[in-house]
Amino acid sequence: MKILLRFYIVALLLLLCSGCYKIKGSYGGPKNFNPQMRPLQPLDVALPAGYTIEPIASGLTYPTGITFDEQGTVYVTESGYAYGEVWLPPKLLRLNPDGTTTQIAAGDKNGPWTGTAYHDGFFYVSEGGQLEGGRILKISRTGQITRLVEGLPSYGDHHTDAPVIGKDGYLYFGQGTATNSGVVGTDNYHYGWLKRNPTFHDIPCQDIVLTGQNFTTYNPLTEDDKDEVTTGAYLPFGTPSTPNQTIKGAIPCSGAIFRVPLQGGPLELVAWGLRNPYGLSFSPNGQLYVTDNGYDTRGSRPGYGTGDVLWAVQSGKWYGWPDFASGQPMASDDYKTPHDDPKFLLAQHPGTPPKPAAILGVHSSSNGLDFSRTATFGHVGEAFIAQFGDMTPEVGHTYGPVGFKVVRVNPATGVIEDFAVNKSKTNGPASIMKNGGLERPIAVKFNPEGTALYVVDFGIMPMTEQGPAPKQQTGVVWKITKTAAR
Amino acid sequence: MKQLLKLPRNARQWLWLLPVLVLSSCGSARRSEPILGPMKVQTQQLENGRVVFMQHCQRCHPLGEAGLGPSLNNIPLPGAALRFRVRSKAFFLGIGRMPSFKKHEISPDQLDELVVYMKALRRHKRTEAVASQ
Repeated sequence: MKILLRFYIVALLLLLCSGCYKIKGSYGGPKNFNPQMRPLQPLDVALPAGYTIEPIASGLTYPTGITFDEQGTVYVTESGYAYGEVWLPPKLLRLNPDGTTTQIAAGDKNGPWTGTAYHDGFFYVSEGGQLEGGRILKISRTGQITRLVEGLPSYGDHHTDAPVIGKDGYLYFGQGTATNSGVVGTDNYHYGWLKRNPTFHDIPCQDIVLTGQNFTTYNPLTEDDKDEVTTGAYLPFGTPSTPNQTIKGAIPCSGAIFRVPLQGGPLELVAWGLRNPYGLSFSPNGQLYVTDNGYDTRGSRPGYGTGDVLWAVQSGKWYGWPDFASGQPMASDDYKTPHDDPKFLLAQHPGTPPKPAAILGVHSSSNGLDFSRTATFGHVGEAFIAQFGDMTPEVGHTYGPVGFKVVRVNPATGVIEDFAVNKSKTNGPASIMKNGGLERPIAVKFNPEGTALYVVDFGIMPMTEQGPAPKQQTGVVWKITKTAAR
Repeated sequence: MKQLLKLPRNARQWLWLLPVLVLSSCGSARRSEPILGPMKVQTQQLENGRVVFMQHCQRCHPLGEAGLGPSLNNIPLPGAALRFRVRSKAFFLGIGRMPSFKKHEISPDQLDELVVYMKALRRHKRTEAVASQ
């Protein structure tokens, strides 16, 4: 009887594992960045009744951001650098009515350019700064580039993120952290940057005191297979911490939102304790919101089950990184992983993190956002968020593709609804679903009239066994309009 | 494997669920507005349940679809099983990583509302407006 029972359980578990419940793994074959054919079929994208979608530009290489001038002309940024360690010149392009592009400006190998905002005759571009540090660039309509901000700590996992311009005459932008959860580890070697910058690490925005927790790993920087190193939080790879050690804060720092006057001036800290504050936007009532990418299950101190977050930004607030997730402590059974339970790194916390406006899918990579402002489009006051989609298995494992769509969020209730998704039996990118729909939405922006939502689709980026393999010339800009009363 | 198959007594009573899961797991779990049309949230209980779902469940089961966790919409678990699953960390043979939600996180009343919402989401069907697209 016991044998029969065991057979029954094993057989059913095998069916479950091999059948319709699939743990998503690598796909896309060998790693390369070659251009790839991408069919575009707007009818493969499902929208709420009354809305239509059309591609207005295609063949872009790693598009990331979008803005409009006074005439409503569309401009996009191409990132240049992308995960997978591909190095191309980042670009600012004008989209012409016939779908072609005209180059306004190009950078060097210091991408990714993560987004742009237009104001009063100038484009403001966030330069990710993987090689030379992050910058905010001011670009004239004729393509002349000057630096508004430079020296941002962007050599790591996350970069200088997309800008937004406030009515107060300031430019706001996010700065991502160097690491997943505060500790430099072998995952950063595999990302590529630890070899280039072996002393780089996270920087707190004010003085912090450590618990002294350390993490021992093999040393990928030496030839000796048996070489091990021990690393503490906010310290270079191979440098251990001690209990009650103080780490000096500095500006600029990691995982923060800054602002700077449009005419230039000192960098001001707005908020910190964020992980990768990617998308910024002001709601119709003037509240600043930010999307923040949650922890990955990787590295020396993996997190588990921590969603991406939409935060209402409060000036001077600390949002919890690296010890809290979505406002909840990481040192909790809820986030326990088999190998490393995330214990607190900080002996004293700079504050209590606030409650999120909304918690989005784990690994969804919820990035660009914008708010609907007109009844013509509908959903006034709701946030529309581009979900780039998961990067599993590099960041953890999932039962199915997460993200790869546009969602709308009611920031007052935290209720999330899908807005633009691919028509397929399960959710996922067009290249997996074998259709002509959305691939990896990375930014959304309403036109100045508020009547159309533009979606920047980064393009095809499979996660191969060798890492991300973003395909050139597969980026698309989609336009969503409301065509009928609901 | 032997260790794995040493079932705790309280897990054995749920073994009947395995074939249910296998048989039901191949149906689509998609219930979102673009796919099926808007779900009518007509009662306060349903609205409250949706908010609880968004605070605690959405991150791993986006709108009941597969994400970090498996899909929920195509699994016909009764209310008692849903409540057990929310409260208990152990699931089949200890497999799975879902946290248990204590009463201070999801109160008994909120749990009732959550179950009402999850069942309504599961039952949600295509509306004419979307069917005509």
